[in-house]
Amino acid sequence: MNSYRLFAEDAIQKYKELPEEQNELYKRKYVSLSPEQLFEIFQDKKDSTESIEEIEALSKSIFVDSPVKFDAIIWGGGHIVNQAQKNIKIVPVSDISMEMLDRKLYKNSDDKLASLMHAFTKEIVILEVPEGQKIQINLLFVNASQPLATQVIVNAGKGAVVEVFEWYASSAGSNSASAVMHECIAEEYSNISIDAIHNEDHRTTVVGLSKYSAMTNATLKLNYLYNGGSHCRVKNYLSASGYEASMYVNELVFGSSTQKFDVSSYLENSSQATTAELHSKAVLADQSFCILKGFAKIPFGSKNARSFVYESGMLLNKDAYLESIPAMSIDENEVKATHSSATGPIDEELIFYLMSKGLPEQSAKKLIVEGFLSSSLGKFRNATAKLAGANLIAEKMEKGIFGAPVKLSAENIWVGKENEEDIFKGHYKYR
Amino acid sequence: MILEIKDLHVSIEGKEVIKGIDLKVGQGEVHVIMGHNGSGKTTLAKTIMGYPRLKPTTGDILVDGQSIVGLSTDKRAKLGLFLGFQNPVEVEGVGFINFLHSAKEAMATTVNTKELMADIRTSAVNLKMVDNLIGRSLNQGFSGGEKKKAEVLQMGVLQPKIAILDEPDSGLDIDAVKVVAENINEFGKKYNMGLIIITHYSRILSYMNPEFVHVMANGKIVAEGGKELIEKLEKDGYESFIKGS
Repeated sequence: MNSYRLFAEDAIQKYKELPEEQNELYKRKYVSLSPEQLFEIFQDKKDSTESIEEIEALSKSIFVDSPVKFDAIIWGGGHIVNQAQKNIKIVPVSDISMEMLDRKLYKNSDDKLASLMHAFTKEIVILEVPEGQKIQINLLFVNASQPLATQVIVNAGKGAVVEVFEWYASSAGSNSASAVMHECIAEEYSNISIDAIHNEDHRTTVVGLSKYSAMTNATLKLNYLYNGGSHCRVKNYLSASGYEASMYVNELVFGSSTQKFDVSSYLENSSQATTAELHSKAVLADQSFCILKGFAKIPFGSKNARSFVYESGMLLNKDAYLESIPAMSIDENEVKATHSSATGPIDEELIFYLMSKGLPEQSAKKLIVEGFLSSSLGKFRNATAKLAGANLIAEKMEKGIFGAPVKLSAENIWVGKENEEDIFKGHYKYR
Repeated sequence: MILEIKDLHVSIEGKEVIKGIDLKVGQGEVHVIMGHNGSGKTTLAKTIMGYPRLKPTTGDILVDGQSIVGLSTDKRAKLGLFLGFQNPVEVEGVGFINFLHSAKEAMATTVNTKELMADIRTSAVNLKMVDNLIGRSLNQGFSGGEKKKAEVLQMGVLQPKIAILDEPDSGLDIDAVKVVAENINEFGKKYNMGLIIITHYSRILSYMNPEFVHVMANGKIVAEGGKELIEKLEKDGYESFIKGS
């Protein structure tokens, strides 16, 4: 038995000891992944059968009739980096420095799933943005003939502005997995925004793990659309570590058929005068299933912190299931913090209203869903992400399709604006 | 187009709320339905439009002699019926213009977006609507009065053959009542619409010229006539009609 296998089997064993995997009550609020199945997917991997030309051709077909240039394409069998883009380095795990290894946020003791994913990671994407620099990066992640497991490290230097657009696609044609971990640090006065869209196919298991830290006066803006994959399990940990740091997380889940999502975000106001906002929205059709978990933590001493957790959902079918679990732990008195949650079936009064003006039932539902998700989609900073996201939602509403190439047409697309009103307005307040 | 309601009975959870209504409305006619709270006016309007929970137990609703009872709400709208809601719902994130564009498209008409925008702008000015209102989400954050104006604007854009306006005057200040009435009149004449105005009050009718007045009480039409009925209602109130029903 080789050392890789021993390591992976040890990781599987530890993963299976997780309370979520053991306890029946936890299991109901949790999308369980089969570590053995994941292991088999990764263990069975053959040499990549795609040539670089084929991967490039694939990247050009992600968007119908509108190729988007990616600065790096990372797939299970390798990577392509735009040579003009000097900020990106992709290095094999075996080549990374001890210093970088030490900085890796995922340790076996922290997260068993992370440990499992580490067992499969071959390469690490490093995005270093020096002090004061402004960059915009497009990344494409593909699980093709080989499953994908990688880690992305983003380091934004002091005052740097980093905008990352990530697209996740599949072309495996068989059971596969896409596992991407993030570790991002926004140094003081820097700004990191990530717009990520998951559009993997129905045979892909999606695993995401992220840890983000914002230092003094730094800002993190994370926008995610989870649209693809058969099972999707994502965990985000964010910490506003420096004075007046801000973090904004905007999650959209759109499930159909038998898709399963488990999206959990943990936000901690670790310093004074910090801001944490989590907006999670889910629309679920058919027999799809979703657990949204949002947890905000304000430790003692984080005076004048602001924290907001908002989760809402819409069910399009009686067989769809959504459970949103907003939670807060507040140990400091001088803070503003609030959370809310609202989930229900699509309102029949809305459908009747729109139908009375001539819209067929399906068009009325589509308009309501698009409207519900519109303001969240409006928060995406990248124009391609906004358009592609809106088209993905429209395609899924009309035809139930996901994991396929998507149009970038602006026709009949209506993306809302970010609501700039005070988020605490109209909500219960702790003052 | 002729809308005809024949001996309509409607029940909600076993309780009969519409108890045999007959009504005939043609294009170009202005009808008024008045009645006390709970008399069944809104139920009647929603039943005509095909609200899913309001199915006639007996009787029929006909358009040009054909029953529409089995038709879905959107198909009734495509025939040329329109309902202006008493309490228009707020639709999060759906732009007012986007909605009207979709509705026009659904009517199987080719939509010229520029012309549509121009129409909307003109109507919004005529209705004295707040400048940025039409750039916002459908009915979201609109005041009660603005919602009513938005319903009338939609009627003008969608150009139905027969429009039912459920309390287009409630929630409006006295100046706005006049503005709304004038716009309803104008759209009605311009597009030869049949109008069914549902209201409690006579003020809006003082700016209109209804030919047919129907008084509802306890789920039935208890009196019919011309404008003289409005004067009688102003003088005697609904009480005498309720007793008579």
